Amino acid sequence: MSEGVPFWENWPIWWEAMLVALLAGAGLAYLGVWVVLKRVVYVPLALSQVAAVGVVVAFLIEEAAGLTGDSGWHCLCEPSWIALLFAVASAFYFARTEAGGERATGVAYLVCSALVLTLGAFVRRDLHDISGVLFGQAVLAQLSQVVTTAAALLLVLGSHLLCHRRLLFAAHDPAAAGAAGLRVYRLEVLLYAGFALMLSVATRALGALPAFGLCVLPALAALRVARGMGQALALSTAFGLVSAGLGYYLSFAFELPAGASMVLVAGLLLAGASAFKK
Amino acid sequence: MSRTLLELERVILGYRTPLLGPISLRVEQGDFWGIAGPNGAGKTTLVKTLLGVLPPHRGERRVAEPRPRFAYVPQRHHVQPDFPLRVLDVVLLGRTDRLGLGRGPGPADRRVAAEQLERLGMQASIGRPFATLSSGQQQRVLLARALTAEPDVLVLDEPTEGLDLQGEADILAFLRSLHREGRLTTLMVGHRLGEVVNVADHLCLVNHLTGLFECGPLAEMLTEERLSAVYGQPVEIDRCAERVNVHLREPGP
Repeated sequence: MSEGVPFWENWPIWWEAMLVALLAGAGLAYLGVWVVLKRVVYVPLALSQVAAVGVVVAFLIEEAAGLTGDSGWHCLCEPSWIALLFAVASAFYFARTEAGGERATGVAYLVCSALVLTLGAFVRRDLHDISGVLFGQAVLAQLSQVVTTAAALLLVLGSHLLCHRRLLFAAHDPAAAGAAGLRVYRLEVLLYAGFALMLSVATRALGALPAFGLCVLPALAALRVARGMGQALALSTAFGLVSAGLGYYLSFAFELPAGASMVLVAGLLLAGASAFKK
Repeated sequence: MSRTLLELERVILGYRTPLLGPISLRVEQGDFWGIAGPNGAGKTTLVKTLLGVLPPHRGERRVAEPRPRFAYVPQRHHVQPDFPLRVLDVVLLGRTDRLGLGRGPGPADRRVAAEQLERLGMQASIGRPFATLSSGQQQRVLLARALTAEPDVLVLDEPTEGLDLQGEADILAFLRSLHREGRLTTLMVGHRLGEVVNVADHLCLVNHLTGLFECGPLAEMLTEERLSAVYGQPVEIDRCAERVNVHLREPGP
């Protein structure tokens, strides 16, 4: 470990990355409560593989059509947008299977992993480029990523604010919610599309490990101590913010890997919450 | 004159593959239907089809206009157990379809929920976490949630499953009084035939393994021949005062 880098003096370097981390941490931790309660913690992993297929397909289209960065059509095939499109489209698949089904998640993960490797063989670029698009790094970020992450968070929180009670009823007891006239399948799609959107954006900005970690650990910590659903959502969001913010600070100040630092802080919060509960 | 609330006409039901049918059934306002059959006979599949949660493979499901309000009490283990919800939170979910988008329950909704909890003797547990309640208490809370919806049709799937004798008797007495006093249209699946025939006035006998589906007024349906055919074993019916007991016939010496 180094002796440390002055943090506050260097704010022009890190403010965008810090903001992205905070926004993504809050959004992932909020959604994480639903992920954990619905017992679909492996869906985020499957979603990242679905998004990877999207990147490979985008590269294949680019190469087949001879699109370049100068062409106006290039933006339509922007790999991260295609990845996002694939991930959100897969929400229909996960919503169709009961409670995100473990088998469905396993099938999606395996098939998509195999597709990435098989289709990737036809891409002239290195597979390293694919992971570059999918898994950015949390150290630096661009203003466009701040805007994208903020927009995704607003979209998720806005839709959940509107449909909170419906989402809650459909997640807690789908059959009774359906009998009461709620459109359970549409609500499931909304929930999984939110996961896909936030995960795609966060994975691109932070990397796969912190995106998965921030989706699961703060929610587990919050559910250890919360006494109601509102409290669980608020606490998890707060834990997500602390994990992302403190993790980024520690990584910058002590030159540690950023994503891993965030996950470790979230893990410490979980240990603290477990001890508090005892 | 009674009004037809729900009707199945030549419906073939099932999940991915057809399970049973074609069947026809008409539920009139104020009826109390019991649905009975052996384990795995297709009773829950029938209920889900009646509720519209499971679309029929063929045939038609007709619902009265204006659409009656349905409330469903599922088997308790079908409810996600980990949610950090208090008793009042769970009961208020019954009001969800009455609330506009983005709106939470108001004082009137809370009053209805509290009234139903009081009717079921759960008022004292209003702030307790749902997950910490006993099986019988959870069943009462789920029933309170259904009644908080102020339904036209109440549908219950094995509401006494896993309860002790007192809990079972309390729930059945409550359902009987609910029907007598409020003429609430009720459909109840029961895994024990004895409990169903003592509360219902109509009976559906289901067994998809033998392709058997019969339904009608209780007096017509409650014969040893019919019950023996559904359960695939000789069944005896004893009538003692106002109570009907159904049991397997003892093998002869």
